[in-house]
Amino acid sequence: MPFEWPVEFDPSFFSLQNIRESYLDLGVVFQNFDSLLQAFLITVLLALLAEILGIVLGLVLALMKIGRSKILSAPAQVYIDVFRGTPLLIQIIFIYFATPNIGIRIESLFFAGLIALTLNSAAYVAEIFRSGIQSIDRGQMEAGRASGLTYAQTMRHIIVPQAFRRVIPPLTNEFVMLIKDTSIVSVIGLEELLRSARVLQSATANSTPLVAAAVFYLAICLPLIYLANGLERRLNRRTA
Amino acid sequence: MTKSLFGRVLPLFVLAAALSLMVAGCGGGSGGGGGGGGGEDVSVASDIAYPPFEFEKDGEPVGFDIDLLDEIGKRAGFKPEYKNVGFDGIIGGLSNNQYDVVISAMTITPERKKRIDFSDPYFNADQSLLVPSDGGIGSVDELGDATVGVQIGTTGEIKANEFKDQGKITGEVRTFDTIEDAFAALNNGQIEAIINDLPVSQDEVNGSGGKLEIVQVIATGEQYGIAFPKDSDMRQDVNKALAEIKEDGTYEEIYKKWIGRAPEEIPE
Repeated sequence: MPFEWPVEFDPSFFSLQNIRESYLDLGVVFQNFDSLLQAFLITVLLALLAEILGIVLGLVLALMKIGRSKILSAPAQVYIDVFRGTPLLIQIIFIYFATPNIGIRIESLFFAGLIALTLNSAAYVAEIFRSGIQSIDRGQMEAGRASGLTYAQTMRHIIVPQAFRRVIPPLTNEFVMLIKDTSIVSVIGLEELLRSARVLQSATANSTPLVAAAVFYLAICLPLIYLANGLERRLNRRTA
Repeated sequence: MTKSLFGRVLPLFVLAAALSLMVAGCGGGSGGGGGGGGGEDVSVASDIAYPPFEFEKDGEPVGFDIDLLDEIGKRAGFKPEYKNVGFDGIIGGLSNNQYDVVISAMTITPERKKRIDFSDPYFNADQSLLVPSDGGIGSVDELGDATVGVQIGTTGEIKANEFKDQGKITGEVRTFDTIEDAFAALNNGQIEAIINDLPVSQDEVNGSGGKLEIVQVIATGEQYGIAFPKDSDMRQDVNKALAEIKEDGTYEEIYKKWIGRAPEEIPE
């Protein structure tokens, strides 16, 4: 049996000229800039809506989980475990391709992606809120109760507003994850940034659209990553 | 901490890498024999995962290509020994003489012709319009604003975009990573039509129990050929046998058996 290397290298292709023509052909990008830009806006809109809806659902889940009622905390725990413990790719494929089996047909790819990303993000946001809420000194709850507020009132007016400030950096990081995770929605055919780039790549036989898509992702993710880091540092200084 | 974790994980990586090397080594073919003739064994490479052309049934390769080459072998006096080789490595292996013949639903292209030789064409790989039987779409001209599914990077995608440019499709052309995904979406009613290779779509129709149908064949001029290393002395014998098979009705028999309909025309 002849030995074969798992990777073949053809030096005749490895040249600066090929790198320039295959990866950095600006003409290909500018000719198709409209479709890339539109796909980028879909990506950002999808992540933004999923973040907002995920925060709402995640906060509900976090409050259910930290409460003393088992009837509320057990389902929240199961939900969080399932959505954090399975790949987002399975969740998306299931939501789009498997729900028609039981009569639920999602017509809009954007909506299917939004549901999947929201449900997934909510599980992570719930954990972010839970740790945020539990990081607030226990004495505040006791003080609130002692001054005549109910558990719910203390949560709403004292604990959650303070927790919100502390969870802004991790929620920003979650938004960065969401931006990148929108690319997984391309698997069901939504023409977000990645799919748009791949369609252009296959149409032009040139890889520059993929490089352009990566630059778009960087352009929105990097500022947010540094913003989250900065916020975290400020928060640490203040609470230290 | 990080170091000890790395120390534990690293051997696993090395093991995985070694295993993958071994597997890659096994994937390579045998040392190829010489030319044809005289009832001798001939090593044939095929990517046996492409129904109805080549796929496995009870551990044996079957399909259109297998029947065709077995028949050619009978007439030209050789016995094909099939090896399952991934399509992406198949041309490299053939040009290095690791096999004598490749039959693998391979389209004849000028680029491939630079590295390997082809027989006369044996299959017109036309495109097709696949729709649900009750969908009310009878041809490409009736697509209108329907959502049309294609597999990314295929001739079907190129054709669909041509129709879009011509204004025959005013709806969305939706790309899928695999044709199975597109079939699933069509069966779910999430798209209304698929433009794809005729034989692959026909295979889906045959398994659909009457729910799907092909309403139009779209000629593209693509043709499959049997491939050989450059200057193989088998090529002439294979072409002679292939011409006979096309002539005497055997081709039509094999076509009907695997494609489920009579050929529109026999490739020349």
